[in-house]
Amino acid sequence: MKFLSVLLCIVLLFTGCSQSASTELSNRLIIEAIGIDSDESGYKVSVLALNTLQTGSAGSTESPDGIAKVFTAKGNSIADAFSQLDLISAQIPLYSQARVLIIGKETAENQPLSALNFFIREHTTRDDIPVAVAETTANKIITADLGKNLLVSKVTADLLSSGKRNGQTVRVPLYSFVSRLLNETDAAYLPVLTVEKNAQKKDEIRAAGIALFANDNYTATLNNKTMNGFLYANNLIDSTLLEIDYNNKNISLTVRKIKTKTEINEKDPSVFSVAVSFSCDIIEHNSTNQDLNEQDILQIKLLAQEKIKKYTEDFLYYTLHDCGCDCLGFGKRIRNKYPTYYEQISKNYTSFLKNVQTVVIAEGAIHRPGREVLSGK
Amino acid sequence: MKNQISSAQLFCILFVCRLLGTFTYMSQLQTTLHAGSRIVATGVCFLFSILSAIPVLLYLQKQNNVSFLNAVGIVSEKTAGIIGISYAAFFLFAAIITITRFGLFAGTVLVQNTGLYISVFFLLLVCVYCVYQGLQPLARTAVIFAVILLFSLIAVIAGTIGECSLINIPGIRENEIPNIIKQAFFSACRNIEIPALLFIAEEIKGKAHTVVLKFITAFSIISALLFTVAGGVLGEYGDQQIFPLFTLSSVAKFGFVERMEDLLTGIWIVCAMLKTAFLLYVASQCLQKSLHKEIKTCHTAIGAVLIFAGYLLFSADIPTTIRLLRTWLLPAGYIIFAILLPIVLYLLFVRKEKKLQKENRI
Repeated sequence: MKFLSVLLCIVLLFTGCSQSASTELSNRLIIEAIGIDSDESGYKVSVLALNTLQTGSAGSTESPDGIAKVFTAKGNSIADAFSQLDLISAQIPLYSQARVLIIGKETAENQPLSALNFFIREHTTRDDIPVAVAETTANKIITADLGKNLLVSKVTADLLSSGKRNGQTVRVPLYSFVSRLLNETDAAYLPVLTVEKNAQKKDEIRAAGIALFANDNYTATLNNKTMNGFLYANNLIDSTLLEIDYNNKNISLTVRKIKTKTEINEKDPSVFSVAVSFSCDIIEHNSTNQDLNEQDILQIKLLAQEKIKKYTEDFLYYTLHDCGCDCLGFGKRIRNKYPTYYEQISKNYTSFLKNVQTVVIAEGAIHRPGREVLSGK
Repeated sequence: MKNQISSAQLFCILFVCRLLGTFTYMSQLQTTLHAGSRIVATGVCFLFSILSAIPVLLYLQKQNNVSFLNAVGIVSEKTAGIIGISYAAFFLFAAIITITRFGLFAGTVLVQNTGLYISVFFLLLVCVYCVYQGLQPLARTAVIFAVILLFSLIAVIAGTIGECSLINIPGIRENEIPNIIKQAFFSACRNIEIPALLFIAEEIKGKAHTVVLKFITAFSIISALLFTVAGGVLGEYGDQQIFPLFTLSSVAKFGFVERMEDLLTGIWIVCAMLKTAFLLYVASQCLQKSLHKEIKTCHTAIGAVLIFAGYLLFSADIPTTIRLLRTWLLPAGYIIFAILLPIVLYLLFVRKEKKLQKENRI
């Protein structure tokens, strides 16, 4: 028996190392970013992949072109395009390392769920890969020339993650986006990315709003005006900068600990309350008279509340009345609490949304007025 | 008795074996259930599990240190032989389902392009070795992996709870009640480890029946918690996934630790091995006791070959696999072997014992 166990250990140590079962790293196309575009002829896949043959040497001083390469392939389906990619690169695609998935505007406008089916089905893709929409084509983002030592995938992934602290964009994992697309009342959302030239004539990837999807269709794009309210209402920011005008002077606040609670009215299921609570720090005020007294702080707090309330109300009005999008899960709340009523309204949900009433409450507190002494006036 | 396992070790064996079934829970295998209904089904399953375990629990309470086949042997030696072989066949069938289900899981989300036959072959070889070592080493391994499993579960829940939104979980609808009951029934009938205790009763130290009750409660709570978190995090996406709990682990992030599914998959492979080894051990015990021959290694090897043959047969194509996993044979077997036979045979045993006592008095 001891002989058998020793033999077993030896055999187990060698399993998976045979030539037929294994793939050398150099034979793998390690994908960093994926871009999906489509037109009448089919899908165009652009991938940014690590140049595994060149990145083998430590301390390599290769330019980004040497570190990563862009491959483009076309096909009738995403799978077909990826199989073409296999032919072009002569390497087997490895999707699990991809940091970001970008879909072109045209693809996003034309039933994005079907374009994402490959990523839902294929077992080597990640369920939590961040997804974004390109303002024009995904290829434009993937092929952006950001400069030496900057990879599009890394920059884009970092940009999307930064939304939590700067309130300029949002990181949406694949499973979350698909889950919302599949829900019959929810509006799905994705960050919009664009490429612009900077002063050094290099490309820069920037956030350009948030795309809203209802019923598997690209419905609207939230701009800077409505995006703030969206982020506040959906608990999608940890902290952000808020500028308010106080006595014709600009006051900068850092808004933190943002928590939003959305509740359905007990008596009327078409009325919802959206309560935003937050905490503020005064980080700058460009007044010649630097003193702030308690009364000033109270006023600043009220102004901050007013501004956040306005942001949220503007966003709700725009999404509910102008776009017919339910970004706050009102439908789910009705479904869970009033299933019979939900059955009635879900058939014509967009028109129901136009009649939804929302009561926005913004409650905040100023915790840190800054290092300056408070005036006793 | 030497080499007896403690109550804690028994709990760990049951816990590790049964939780594997939860991890490899497949959406829409028996019924189509939404996340909310799935949680309710777990609660109903708890009730069914307790009810269906009553005959075994009563036996374990009354005859704690007597193997079921020894008790049946008092009634009739011949009956004991037939019963032992029948139970062995049932446990081997359960092991085939375990391996086939695990094969489907591994082939779907882990290694699509590689044949799993070699892996399953070696897994069974390890199982045979484990069975040869006895129940005590198996139990000790189960304790280690129960602890690892518990920590990994905590990590998955902690790594996803931040994304959990309870509004993603729909309430149950009236028309879903039959499906909930069906799901709960199928799930309760997968507690194969409970009737298996009848045959290792003499190897358990302490009160086995209380361990079973604690196990059912703990398992139900953990399952309900996992389904709640999965429903709250994945929403409708979870309903689309064949193995939603695996998907949940793949989106979990715990500090700098990402890709937890890779870590968990390793643990689950050991769990699959432990469960198969446990079922193989019990099947070999049944055969040994019913045939009254000390050829344990041979029994075990034959059992392993049968499991492997069953796996090859049922994993040939997906429709066959799904048909096996959807089959009513396992629930029917569970009702017969976990409920009906223990009741009937125990009553016969009690009658015979009373008769013998009467005869002794005379």
